[in-house]
Amino acid sequence: MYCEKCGNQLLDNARFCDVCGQSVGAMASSTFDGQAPAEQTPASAVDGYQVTTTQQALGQMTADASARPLGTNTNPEVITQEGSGKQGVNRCPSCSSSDVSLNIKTGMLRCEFCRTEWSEATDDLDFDIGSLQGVIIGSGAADIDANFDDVITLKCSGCGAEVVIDTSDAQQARCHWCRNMLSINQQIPNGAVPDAILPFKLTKQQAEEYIAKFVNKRRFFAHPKFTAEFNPSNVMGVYLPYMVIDINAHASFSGQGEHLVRRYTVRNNDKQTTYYDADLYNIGRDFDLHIDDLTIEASSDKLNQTTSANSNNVINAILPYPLKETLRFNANYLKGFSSEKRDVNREHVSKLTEAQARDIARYQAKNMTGFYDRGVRWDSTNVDMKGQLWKTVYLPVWLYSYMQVKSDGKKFLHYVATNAVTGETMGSVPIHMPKLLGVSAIVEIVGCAIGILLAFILLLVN
Amino acid sequence: MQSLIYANIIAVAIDSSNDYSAYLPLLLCLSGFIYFAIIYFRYRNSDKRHMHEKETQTKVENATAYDNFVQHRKRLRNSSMAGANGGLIEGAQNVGNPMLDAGKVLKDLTKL
Repeated sequence: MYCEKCGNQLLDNARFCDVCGQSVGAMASSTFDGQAPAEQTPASAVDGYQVTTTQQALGQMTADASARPLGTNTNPEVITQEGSGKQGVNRCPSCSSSDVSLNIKTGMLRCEFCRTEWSEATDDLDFDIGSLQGVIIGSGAADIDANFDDVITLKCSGCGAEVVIDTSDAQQARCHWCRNMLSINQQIPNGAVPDAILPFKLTKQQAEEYIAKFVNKRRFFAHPKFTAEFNPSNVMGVYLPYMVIDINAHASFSGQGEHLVRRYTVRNNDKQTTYYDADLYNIGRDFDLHIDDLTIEASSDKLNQTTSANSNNVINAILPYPLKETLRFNANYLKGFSSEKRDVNREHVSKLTEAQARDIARYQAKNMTGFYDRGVRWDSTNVDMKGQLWKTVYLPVWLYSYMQVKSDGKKFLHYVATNAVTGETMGSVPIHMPKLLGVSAIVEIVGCAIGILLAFILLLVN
Repeated sequence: MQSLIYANIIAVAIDSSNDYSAYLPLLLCLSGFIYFAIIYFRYRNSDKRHMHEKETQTKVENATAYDNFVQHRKRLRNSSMAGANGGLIEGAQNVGNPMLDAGKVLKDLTKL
C-alpha cells in the first residue's frame, strides 16, 4: 500500500502516512492483541555508564556476590530495561497514528484516532531481594550530569525534520511539519526520564470529590478567603519523581529491656506515690531484613518538608503506592498531565535511606520484643545494607494548591493531595486564626470555670 | 497527634498517682490549649507523614534472639524504662516541631 499524496510505502494497516501524515482511507474499528509493538527497539546505552540488560544483570549479580565483600561495592551496576518506549515517534500498533494518551478508566494507552488500547510491559526491575548484593541502579536513577543540555534535538522518523524538546519541562513535542508526536522515552543523563511509571487510576472528577470532601470537613475554621476561592476543579494531575529502593540488609540489635512485674501505690501521710518493680534483661535480636520498595522523593523541592515553611509533608503522607503495578516508562502516559523532573541523586538521599532502613529494622525488632512492656533500650544498632536496587519512578498525584499571602507579605503554599491510585487524601487548609483563637479562648474560660468548681467540690469531699 | 497529646496529658496524670480525679481540674484548665492544638493539626496536618517504618513492605528471615535475665529492680518511679529507644524514628522527613509551628503561627497572628 502506498500513500496517495507522497507515494511512500505504508504498512498494510496504516491509517496515516509516516512521511507526510496524510490520512489513509476511512477509519475502521480494529482490535489489538495486547502485544508490545514489534518495532520497539532495545534501549541504547547511555554514554559514560556500563549498561546491561535485565537478564544479564541478574546473572552478573549472582556471579558478583561471591567475589565482592558485602556492602563495599562502590561501582554501581546500571541496568537499562529493554523494550521501554521508542525514542522519537511512538506509533499506535494498529493505525500508526502518533497521537496516543492514557485512558485513565482502563489504565491503558489509547490511540486518539482508532481507539485501540494497549499497555506497556510491567517494570521488571524487580529481583529477589534476598539475592541482591552491592549496588544496582536502573539507568533512570543514574547520577545527573550537570553539564548535560536539557534541550534535545530528535529527528522525526516521519518526515526527517529536526524537532527540539526541552526536557526540563516536557518529554514530548509535536513535529512542526508532519504533526507526529515525538517522545523522549530512553534515559538521558539529566534525570528527565525515569525507569518506570505508575499511571493515573483516579479520574479528575474522582479526585475533585476526594478533595472537596476533605476540605468540606474543615470549613468552619478555614480562612474565609480560602473558602471563597476554593474550587476543586483547579486540581492538577502531576507525576512526581521518586527513588524506589529495594534493600537486602542484615540487622543486629543489642541492649536491655524491662518487663513490669508489679505496680503499687504507697501512701505516706497525705502523699501517694506509685512505684514499679521490673525485671531487667540483656537482650539481642539478629535477623535478615528484605525491604521492598522504600520510597523517597527525588525532587529537592518535595524533599524539603520543613513544616513551618511548606506543606510538602502532606504529599509525603499519601504514600505508599502499589508499586508492583508500575510499568515501563512511556512518555505517552504523561500527556494531559504535568511532571516534575528529578533533580536529586542517590548521594543526596543515601543518609535518609539508611535512616529509614534503620527505622524499619527497629520497628521489626520492636515487634519481636513485646514482652518488654516497660520498653527497650538498644545500645547497639547495626543495619548492614548488603544489597540495594535503586530505580526512579513517576508516581501520580492529583494536587490542589493554594498560595496563602499573609498580612506581612509572607507566602505559604498549601497543598491538598490525592494519591491518584489509592485515593488517599491529605492536605493543609489555611486557618482563620482569629476565629480559632476566639473559640479556643471560650473553651479555655469554660474549662477553667468547670475545673475550679470541680477542685472546690473535691476539696469539700476530701 | 491529637490522641498523642491526650495520651501524654493523661499519662502524666496517671503516672504520678492513682488518684486521677485530682488532676481533672488541671486538665480542664488546659482545655483551650488542647482544643487549639487539635483543631490546628486537623486543618494543617503538619504532623502527618508517610509512616515508612510500618507502611513499607518488609520480610524478616533467619531471626535469632537472646534474653538473659540480669536483675530484679524495685521501687522504680518511672512508668517506662529510662532511655528506652525502641520506637525511635530517625528518617521522618517532616522536620520542624509541629507545636513550634503552631506557636509561630500564633506569633504571626499577633501582627494581624
